[in-house]
Amino acid sequence: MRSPESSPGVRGCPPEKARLAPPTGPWEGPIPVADIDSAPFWDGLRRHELVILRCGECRTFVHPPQASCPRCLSLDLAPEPVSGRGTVYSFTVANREFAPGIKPPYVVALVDLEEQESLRLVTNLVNVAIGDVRIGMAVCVLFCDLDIGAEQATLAMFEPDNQP
Amino acid sequence: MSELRDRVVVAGVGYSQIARSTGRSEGSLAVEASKAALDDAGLTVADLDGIAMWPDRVSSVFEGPSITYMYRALGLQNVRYYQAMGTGPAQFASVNGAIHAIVAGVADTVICIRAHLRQEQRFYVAGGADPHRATGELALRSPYGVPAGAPRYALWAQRHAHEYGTTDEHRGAVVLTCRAHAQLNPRAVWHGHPLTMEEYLASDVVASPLRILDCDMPVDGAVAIVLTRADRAADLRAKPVRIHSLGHGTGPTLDTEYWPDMTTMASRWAADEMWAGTDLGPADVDVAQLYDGFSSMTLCWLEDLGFVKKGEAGPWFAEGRGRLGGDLPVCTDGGHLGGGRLHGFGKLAEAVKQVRGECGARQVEGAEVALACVGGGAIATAMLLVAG
Repeated sequence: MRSPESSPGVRGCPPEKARLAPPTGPWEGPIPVADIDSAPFWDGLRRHELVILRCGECRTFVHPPQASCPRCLSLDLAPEPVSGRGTVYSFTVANREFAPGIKPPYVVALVDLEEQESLRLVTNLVNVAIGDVRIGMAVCVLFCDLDIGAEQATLAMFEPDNQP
Repeated sequence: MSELRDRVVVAGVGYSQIARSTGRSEGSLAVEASKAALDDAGLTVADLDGIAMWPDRVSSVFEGPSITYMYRALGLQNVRYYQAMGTGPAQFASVNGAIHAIVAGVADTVICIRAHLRQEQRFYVAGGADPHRATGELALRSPYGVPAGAPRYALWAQRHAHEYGTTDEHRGAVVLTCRAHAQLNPRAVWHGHPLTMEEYLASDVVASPLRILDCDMPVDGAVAIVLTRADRAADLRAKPVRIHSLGHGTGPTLDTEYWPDMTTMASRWAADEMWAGTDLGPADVDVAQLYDGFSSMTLCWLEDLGFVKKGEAGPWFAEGRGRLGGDLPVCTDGGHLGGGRLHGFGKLAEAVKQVRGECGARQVEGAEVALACVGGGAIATAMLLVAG
């Protein structure tokens, strides 16, 4: 038997009907810094494109970004666009400022992309009411440009996927 | 058969002052605990030829004095083994390293120290660098508000609830078990503060499904452990306790967020390895100090160790079977939920004291076999301790 997820509608929690919006205004949270492995991923997000490294030999998608394919150890990895569609593996409604500058409430989710089993992104769910978030729900990517002045950084967040 | 079976004994354990705020340095607490552990063993600093610590002060999100500091503070001279661990099999990384060193003949007598200073008004973000610049693995999660702590493990707890119907009351039963045991331990930070299920359910949800009371209680405090070769046990002041079997399994990944099946932790692999190294089984265990950094982890440990089937730990705790007098007393010192966050070292110290029969009002009568298990999510160490 499957039970509904724990209700966030208790003391100290935001109301379930509260709708989560993408970030607006000056970004005060942590700014992602790319490295040589992750640069293609972050560059893609800046172009509003979700790209994941893929092995040129055995075609395995690899995330988080790294130098090698864990299946065949090939170093021939290249970024490849993916659909941006997936399902929520798990989530939590955060009701504390766990990272400096990220104000609660917000929903952290693990989204498994449809391209490959357990091909997972850590993300936030937005454009959804807190009480409507469920494990297994279909979601699609939403690109959120961060207002950080001269630099440019974009996060991949997810929202309910209403496409058939 | 495991090379390390019964080759190493716990010679001494020592606690520092433990309180919400001591106003003391982590080094002061660490030295106090070290002196207590050496005194417990009937040894002196001159008997030590090794020191192991976790975390490595430089790279870890967690605090604690550096090994350089402790070497100097204890007046150590020319040890044969020293190592501060960065990442390793959970909070026992240093203990595992010390055991391996002794079994290998690299050192005879090693002190392991964990000092914890409550972090007030600070974010738990690794490295100590600018928390507004998320580098490396943190770049992929800190901007989403999940740098460390409760939200990371809430994701595991939520999935366990989804698959097995784990309820708030199930997690609450773990918290209440620990809190009840804390009433029997004057050292516990929640001693004198019993808790009801009603109060638990009324506490704030910080990262659903986890409430603030599902998170261990931050304190200032230190624990030191002195390990030595089993063939030196006769020289010790306290009754020695053998490290009978040890498992520090790694599962499919070391990444907390990318672990495929979050209803099972690295504890399953640690438990498998530990059970493979012994002829004993779950029915032989008298008392279990299971990691309770978050109550959801304790449920998973009980299942992954094979005491119950997956999904049955919640009802097991709710029936009171983990309480003193129950089937298998768990976290008899109040755990970290009721006693204070000693970051795993409290597990080992309490397991040793139970096997020695030194636990007073919370003593499990005739305890001879104890578990000390630390870690959660993608990291775990399981240790089986036996009298003698």
